[in-house]
Formats: sequence, structure tokens, C-alpha cells
Amino acid sequence: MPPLARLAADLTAKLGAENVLTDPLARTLYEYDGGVDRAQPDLVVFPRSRDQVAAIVRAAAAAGVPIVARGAGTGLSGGAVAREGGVVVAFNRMRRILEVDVENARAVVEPGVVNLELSQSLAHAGFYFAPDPSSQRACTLGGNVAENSGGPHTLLHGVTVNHVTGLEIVLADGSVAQLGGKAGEALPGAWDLTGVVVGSEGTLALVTAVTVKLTRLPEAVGTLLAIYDQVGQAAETVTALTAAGITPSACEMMDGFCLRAIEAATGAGYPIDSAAVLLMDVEGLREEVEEDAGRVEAICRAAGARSVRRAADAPERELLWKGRKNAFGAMGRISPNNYVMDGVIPRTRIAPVLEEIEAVGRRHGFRIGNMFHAGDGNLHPLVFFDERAGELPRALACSHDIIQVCVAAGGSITGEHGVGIEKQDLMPLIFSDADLAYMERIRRAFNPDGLLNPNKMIPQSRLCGEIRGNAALYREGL
Amino acid sequence: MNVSAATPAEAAACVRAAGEAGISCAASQCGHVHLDLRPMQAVRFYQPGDLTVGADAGLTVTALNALLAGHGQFVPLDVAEPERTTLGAVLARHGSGPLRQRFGTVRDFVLGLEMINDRGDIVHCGGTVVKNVAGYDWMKLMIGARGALGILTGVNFKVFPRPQGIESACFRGLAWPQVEAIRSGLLHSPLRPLAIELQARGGERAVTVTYAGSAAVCGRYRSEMSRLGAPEITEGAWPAATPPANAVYPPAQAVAALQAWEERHRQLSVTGRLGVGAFHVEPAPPPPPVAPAAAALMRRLKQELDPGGLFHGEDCGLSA
Repeated sequence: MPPLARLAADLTAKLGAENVLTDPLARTLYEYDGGVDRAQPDLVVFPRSRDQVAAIVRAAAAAGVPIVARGAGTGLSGGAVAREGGVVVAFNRMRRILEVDVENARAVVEPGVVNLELSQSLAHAGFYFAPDPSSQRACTLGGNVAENSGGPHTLLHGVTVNHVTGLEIVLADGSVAQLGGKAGEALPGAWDLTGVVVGSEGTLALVTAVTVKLTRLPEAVGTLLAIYDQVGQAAETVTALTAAGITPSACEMMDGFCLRAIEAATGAGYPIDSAAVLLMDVEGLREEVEEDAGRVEAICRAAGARSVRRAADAPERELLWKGRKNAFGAMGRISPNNYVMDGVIPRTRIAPVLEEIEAVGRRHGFRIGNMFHAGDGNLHPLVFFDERAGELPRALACSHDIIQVCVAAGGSITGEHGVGIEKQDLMPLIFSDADLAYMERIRRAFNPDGLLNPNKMIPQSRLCGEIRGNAALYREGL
Repeated sequence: MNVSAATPAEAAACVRAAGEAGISCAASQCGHVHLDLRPMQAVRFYQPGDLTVGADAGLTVTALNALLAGHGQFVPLDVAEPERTTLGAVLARHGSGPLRQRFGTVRDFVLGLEMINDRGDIVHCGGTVVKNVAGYDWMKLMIGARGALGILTGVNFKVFPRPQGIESACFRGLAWPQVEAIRSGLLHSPLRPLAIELQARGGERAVTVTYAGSAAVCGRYRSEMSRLGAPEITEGAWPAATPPANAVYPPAQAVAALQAWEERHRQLSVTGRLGVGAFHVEPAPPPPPVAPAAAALMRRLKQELDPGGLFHGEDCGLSA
């Protein structure tokens, strides 16, 4: 029996036929995530427990087969795509909230728990899980940990790594390790392994349980929509807020081009004749929100806002946010396809960088839209293209140039979507050979045979023969 | 042997030389070569509008905060002896102070790191912007590793507006159950204090809550806290730094653990973060064991990242 068929039979015996997909048609559903890269896995398995995950990893490792973890498949950088084939470990059936410990402000959850469901289950106690990616209705905690996900409100509250105190992981040899726990920190001398595994994109270990911090729901939230006739005025507002020492909990910018599509799709009440808007939340005690909302409004007006609206109540606030949260779906009104970039720049550089990005789009013949986390300089330029017209390669080239603009401004190639396949070859834009070699050594300490999510993050040309070899050998051996 | 380095390149050359000679090297007294980084005090960049700053590891916390104060900003590193504690030492020890209740530890606001590795290469992690997920975040590994994997030479921080209108409320004469009631009461309140500090010594216990804001906001804090007791209010007092934590607990287990330890040590002295469960305790309780699987992972990392054992992981005066 060929090794792969033997592995399939072995895992079917261990997990039951209902938890193993071998059918080629069924497997096509697992060949992509939210990004543009595709590759079909050879097997898809659905573990229901840590012990099953460990058994899968042991069996796959013994067979020399790559292992790729997958949550909801909403990622945008190809992190869950089995680029070198192998076994996709889909965590959709490990979705129990194992423990809610309100007094310690912690919860322990399985990796398949959906981000928003966790927050909803905590609301009765007055708490929530702060990171709120746009995909939070679908994306899983395991995926959030793998990608170190952000979201609009991470401006004040921090990204996933700031809200994870412990992980249970399955290592590349199938052994289980508990890293961290409910305590807020390890004592000096015990290294912060949790912090290294968060954001490692499935290349160091598989996560089987996550201990998260719970955040107290604020007493009051003020939502403001500032409307501008020039993009530069909105950008100026972001700088002025920072200079005034105000940290909104979210500060999102949408340009007029995107606004019109969003408004047509959602009816959120956005002004369709403006050049840009800022959607901002301030939160805290009632007294703090009153003061901060007043200061934010004054700063917006001083920077040239045509008008500033403040949501009168919760339904109005939800309506304003509904537009932003459903914005990506609305982009289908503009063009058949769009490519969402993720770059970071110093927030003082928003206006000139947006101009440069527009020029890059013109050069490539594409219209660029912008809706992004302005408060922390995390840009999400949207390249609108038509795949049927064969425009994808040109759109990718345009996106590459956009990222170079971000790097030239002193920024980063990714703020929250991760490197994965998408940005793998862009890593040398911000890291030296020595930097990448050091990352390789960290990978080797956890994942010596390179079978965990191979050919991701670190440019392939850099990988040493040993690590590249195993995945390549696997393909040749089929 | 003491060697001073004024630049990362000098530090790298020193590490390479030590590696070739087969002798250990540390930014503290515990290496055969003591690499003194105090001449490295450059501020590499400061962008007040972006709330970011980068500096050499030899700069002291006091010197960095003196610069940031010019723009009403600061790094919330309220460690003990900031005037002689270098940024490198804060990172190596995972130092923090009372303000971590609100701002987290240095782990939560380091944006980028520069380090000399075992091969004498200058390696970087992270960057200079406030949000960044490119590559492995091995900064986390180095924070608190006490120099076991390399020599830190530079660091980039996210900085914060320095809070205005500081006030504190001190609850005195507390029994342990009252201490726990205050902790739990604050957790379930809408308040977000800057610091929640416990001081206990010889059976006397006090909790000091520090907050900031306008007169209206401070008034609200006072009224909420009057439900938890009758605190003494002091305006303008920042929380005092304490010695480094040597006992950490899940926050809701801390009081019971400290009470049990006090029953064995009547002269127990405790200072630290009641809200997050990190304390300096005298006499120190035994540290919790590192789980065997995590310890094995640490050994594998040490073997991979410093196979020649060039760097010592012992803490023996890193601030020097």
C-alpha cells in the first residue's frame, strides 16, 4: 500500500470514517482560504480532542507527510493552504469553551471556537474577548492565535498575543506541552514560549487549547463619524488625535470610493458625496466618554471635517459599524474581484502614502480603494480587478509595489494578515539574511523535519536543504 | 574581563571574539567576558506623532523618559532604580512596575529588538511601527530570558501619553478577605485603574488604587470606591516602584496563596500587583516548577540558538 493510502487507513481507523475526507471533490473545499493561493490537500481530518491531534501528528510524521492546521479558512495570506500537500487538520469539530473563569478574567477554549461566539458567551458576565478581526463571525481562536490577529479595536486593546496567557500545543513529534497558564506572566527564567508560538502561522506547533484574557465590557462607548472633503484632512485628524494624547478604541478610515459601495450595500447612513470619513469609538466611564467624544469632535473640526456625527444610541452605533464590518462584501459592487492588501506605515505618513499608492494603481491600470485601521497606520488598500479578464498577475504585481511603498515609508509588509504564502518572498524587504537565518533556527528547534506547514513565511530559497528536502521528498514519493 | 562596547558592531565583534576563544560572554558580570553596554546610549529615533521611539540597550529608563517627557509621553516602565537600570536589563529581566495593571509589561509594548546572536551576527525582530506580524516574534523569547540566548543591543518601543490628573485611594487596615473583596470588586467594576498595589507586612495590609483623569472622572472613581471601603485620597501621587516580582499567581488565587504563606511566615512582607497577581514576597515562596515539556522545549531552543553555550542565563547584576 502506498504511504499515503496507509496513512489514510490508519487515520480512518483512529478517528472514524466520518472524520476523514479522502474524496477528491470534498477535498477541493479545503484547497483555499480567503486569499488567492490554492493547493489541494491529500487528506483532511477533523480531530475531536487533543489526543486525536497528537495521534494524527505522530502518524503523519512517521509517514513523512506535511501537516497543516486550519480553522475557518478566513485567513488572507494562505496560512491554511496545504501548499506542499499532506494532511489538513481542520479544527472545526474542536469548538468547546472548556472553562470560563470570570474571577481570574480567563477562559480556556478549544481552537475551533469562533471568535464572536466566545465574546457572546461572556457578555452575561460583563466581559468579552477583545481582538475583533473583520471575519470575527466565522474565524476561530486557533486561527487568531496562528496569525496573531488584530481588528479595529486592537488600537486600544492590543492584538491576540496581548490577550493569550497560555497554550496547550502538540509538537512536531506528537508530544503535548502546556505553555503558560492563567497567571499573567512567567517568572524570569521561564521563557515566554507562548508569545513565540502566537503568530507562528502553524509552523511551530498545533494549538489544541488557548487560555485567553477576558476584557471587561466598557460602561460607555461613544461612536463618531467625521466627514471630510479631502483625504488629507482625515489623515491630519489621526495625527492631531495622537498629539493630543487621545487613544480612541478604534479609528477607521474609509475613502469616498469605498463609502459609496458600502452605502449602496448596507444603508449604514454614510455620506456618499465625501472624500473620506473616520469612524471612531471612544470608551470607558460615562464621564470619560463624554469628555473624549467632545475633544475628538473638536479635533476633527479643527482638521477640516465638514461635519461630525455622534451616534445617539446603541442601534445607531451598530448601524454605523455595520457598514464597516460588512464592507468587504460590498466591494463586489465595484468590480468582480478585489485583492485586500495589508501593510503598515507610521501613522503620521498616511496622507502622502495614500497618494503614492494611488499613483502605483494608476501605473498598473487599477483603481485602488482604501478602508483601514488609520489609528495604528495599518493600511488595507484594495486592488479592484477582473480575474476572468486575466488581470490577476497584474493585480499581484501592483500589490507588490504597494507593499514596497509601505516599506519605503518605514513600515511593515503585514500588520495582521500574516506572511504565509502571500508575503513569503517579500520578507527580504524588511529582514536581512542574518535575520531570516535566525528565524530558520527557531523553526528548526520546534519543527526539525519541516513537516509543520512547510514552505511558508521564510523565503524558500533561504531554507536549508534539510527542511526544504523533506517536503519536496514527500511530493516526489507520492 | 570587562569590555566596553559603544556600538552594536563593537558588541558583535566582542561576541565573535569570545566565541572563537571558547569563553562565555554576557551583558552582566556572569560571563567570563563582561560586555559593558553602558556606553551605548543613543536614541535612534523618536517620532512623537507616531508614539514610537528606538534606543540603544545601554540607555537608562530615566534617560529615555526624560526625553519623552518633553512631549508629554512616557514608557510605562516604573521599575525600581530607573536611573541605573538599562533598557537591556529591563528586557532581560522582564521588568515591570505598578503601571502594568493598565499598560501591560514590556512584552506588550516592545515593537522591535536588535540582538547579537551566538555567531556574532546582529539580528533584528519586529520593526518600528505599532502593528506588525511579519516573521516569528522571537522578541518574546528574549524578554525575561536573562541574556541566555544573546546580547540585546537595541529596542523600539510604543510609547504612551503620560496620564494627567493622578490621584490615589489607599485602603488601610485590611484583613485578607477584604483585600480579596477589593480585588474582585474592582474587576467587576467599570473602573480601569492605572495601578492596584498591595502592601502587606507583619499582619498590616493596605491596597492602593491609582487612577487619573479630570475632576469629574476622579470624582466618579471616588464614589465607586466608597462602595469598597473608606479609602484615604491623595492627589498627585504616582505609585511607588517595588522590587522585581518573585511570585506570580492567577489573580483570583493570589490572596489565598499569600495568606497561606503568611501563616507559615508571620513577618511576611508583600508588595506588588494585586490586579494581575505578580508580587515581590519576602521570604520568597518556592518558584512553581517549569512543566517538563516546556523545559525540554527551552533546552532545544538553547541547543539550537546557542549550541556552544556562549551566553550565560544566570541573573547576576544585569543592571550593571
